[in-house]
Amino acid sequence: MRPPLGKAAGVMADLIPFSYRNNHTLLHRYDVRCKMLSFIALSLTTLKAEAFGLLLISCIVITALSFLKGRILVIFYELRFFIFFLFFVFIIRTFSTPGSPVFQNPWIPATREGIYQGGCLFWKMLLIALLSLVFISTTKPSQTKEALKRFFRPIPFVPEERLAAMITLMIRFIPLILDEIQEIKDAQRSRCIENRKNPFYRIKHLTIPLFRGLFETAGELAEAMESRCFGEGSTPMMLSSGTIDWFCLAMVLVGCLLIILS
Amino acid sequence: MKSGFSNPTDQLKMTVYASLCAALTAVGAFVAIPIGPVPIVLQNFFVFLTGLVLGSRWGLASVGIYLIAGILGFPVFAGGAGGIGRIIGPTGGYLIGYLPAVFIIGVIVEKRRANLYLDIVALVSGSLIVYFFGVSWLKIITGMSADKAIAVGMIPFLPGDALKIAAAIASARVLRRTIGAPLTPRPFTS
Amino acid sequence: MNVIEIQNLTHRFPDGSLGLDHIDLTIRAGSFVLITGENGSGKTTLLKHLNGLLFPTAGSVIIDGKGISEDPLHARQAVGLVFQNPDTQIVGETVSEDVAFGPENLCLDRNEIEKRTHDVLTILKLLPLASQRPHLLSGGEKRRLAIAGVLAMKPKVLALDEPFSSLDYPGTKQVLKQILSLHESGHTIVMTSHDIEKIAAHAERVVVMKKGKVALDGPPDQVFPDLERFGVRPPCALRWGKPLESWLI
Repeated sequence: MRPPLGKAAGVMADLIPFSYRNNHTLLHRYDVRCKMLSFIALSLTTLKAEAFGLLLISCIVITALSFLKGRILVIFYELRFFIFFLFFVFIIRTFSTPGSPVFQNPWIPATREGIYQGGCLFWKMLLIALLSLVFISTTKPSQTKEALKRFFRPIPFVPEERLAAMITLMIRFIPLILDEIQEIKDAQRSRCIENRKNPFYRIKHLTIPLFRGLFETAGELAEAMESRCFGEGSTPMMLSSGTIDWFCLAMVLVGCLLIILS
Repeated sequence: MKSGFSNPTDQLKMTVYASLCAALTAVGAFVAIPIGPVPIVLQNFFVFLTGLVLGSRWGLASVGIYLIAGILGFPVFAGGAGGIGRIIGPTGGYLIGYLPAVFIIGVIVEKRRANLYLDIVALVSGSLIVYFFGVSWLKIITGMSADKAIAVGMIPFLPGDALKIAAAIASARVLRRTIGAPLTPRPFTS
Repeated sequence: MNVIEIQNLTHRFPDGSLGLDHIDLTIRAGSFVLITGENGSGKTTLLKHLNGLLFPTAGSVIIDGKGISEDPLHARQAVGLVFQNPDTQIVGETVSEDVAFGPENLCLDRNEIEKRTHDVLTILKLLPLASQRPHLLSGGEKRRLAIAGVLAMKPKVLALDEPFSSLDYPGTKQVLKQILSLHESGHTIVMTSHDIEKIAAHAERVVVMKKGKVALDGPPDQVFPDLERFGVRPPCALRWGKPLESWLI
């Protein structure tokens, strides 16, 4: 039996980007079902939108971001890889779209149409990423889970309880895995594994104990859930939605329709 | 006796294992090394492993949960981001490709458990499926030619994939022993 | 009244080895029982039977009037099992959500769940941490959370598997204090430990196991002198001929 992980080991779990931040802003209080639908609608509209629509959605996103005070820089830092990929797509689009060249130099085959299209694509993808980020930082995972359960309930053959439970379990395992990796690494460093230059040797001695330990932990967790009467049914969580929530959702949906139709 | 409350059911254990595999896949995505438009990730390694260890049905459940969590915005995709943007982003095809891949891997290895050649066949077909979806989508979204898409979206990863396949098979052997008889507690555990 | 009645309990694992060998044990409601023995003597296997996680191969386990094989759900409610490693039994994303997990599975009313969660967190002094992520708690706090999680299901018996393992001195004292006050409020306590030093002064009855059998069973002063033979170190105080002293003093 492995000892429980200490507090110090929990540090790595804190580094996970984009987690729920406890707060009491309007967005936090927005009913989770309406919020989820709004964000999905906005994301899909973004794909279809042209310049005017994008501008409108950008305003919404910037307003939403302002609710997450002080995290803007962190957010862009966390998104750096994504922005890097988007930039790559932008470059390729710029060069590969046929149209009138921007520069006279034949070595830089950028076209005006390419820049416009690439820029739009870049902006759309970024907006969608930011939208999901706002959603995740203002919604408790348990609320998401409950909303998910209710959305999947009318669909036949989908075990919504199990699905929701699995997502919760998965989110719960992530910090555990990160800590476990750190602990095994430390333990091996203390026995001078760094003297072994062969990466395969080192990977093997990290992954095998890691997997074995994790799957044993998972087995124990299943037992613990069983002992706390985990079954297919459980008390549903209370979700309260007022007129305002549905009004907001209606506004968003109407706005989206207008953007798509315009 | 109420059903579902017998000795800890295999089903609950498999549910937890599938969630664990989904979480491992997510962790595999955190360590993204960006080269070109498609980063090197360990996601596919864990997808391979999931298929080998959990089989087709639970493997599909595991990857499905992973994708749903990602679409909902949980930070489980490469580089620690999530959201629908990722599925429709340049690398989305790879993510969607994991679903048929894990299923096929599972179907192949279920034919005969713990057979080395079968494991290799399964993983090679699995990774080809992932590339088929991944490269096609990359081509659509970036407007690159097929040659070019294969050159940036497949070729650079093949050596790494060979290693991942070897590692997945080795790890699966150990794990099948841990899980294979997981439902029997060891005697005199304390 | 006996809250736990074990008759002729034998458990054979699927691989054929014997985990428990003809155990007879009755535990009176409200008592404080310490089960000890070396590693691998069957302590945990026995606890898992109380909770209906394992079923007898032969014999019977009756919890609060009902057999575990007939009604495991009843056993799981009546006996709250706290596992050795708190990390493997915490399921919630926040402290209060974790406590609510059990009552939710019992499909209780939402108001009742919230009341229970609040009460249990107050008893275990976790209320200030209610919205904290369990993962970031200290060892002692995690253990108390694990206890809170089963307490919210209002069990009659609290079964604790090595509750002090890998806890520091303050953590041990916190947990010990809670266990004692739960005992005072009427809970039956069944605890396993191979290191009895921390609990020696409080146990009312000591059961020593060896190779899946009950080797000794009696009040502490009768059992303690013999412990050495069964691979358990007797409390220090006894060696020096002093009276047992609580860790809380």
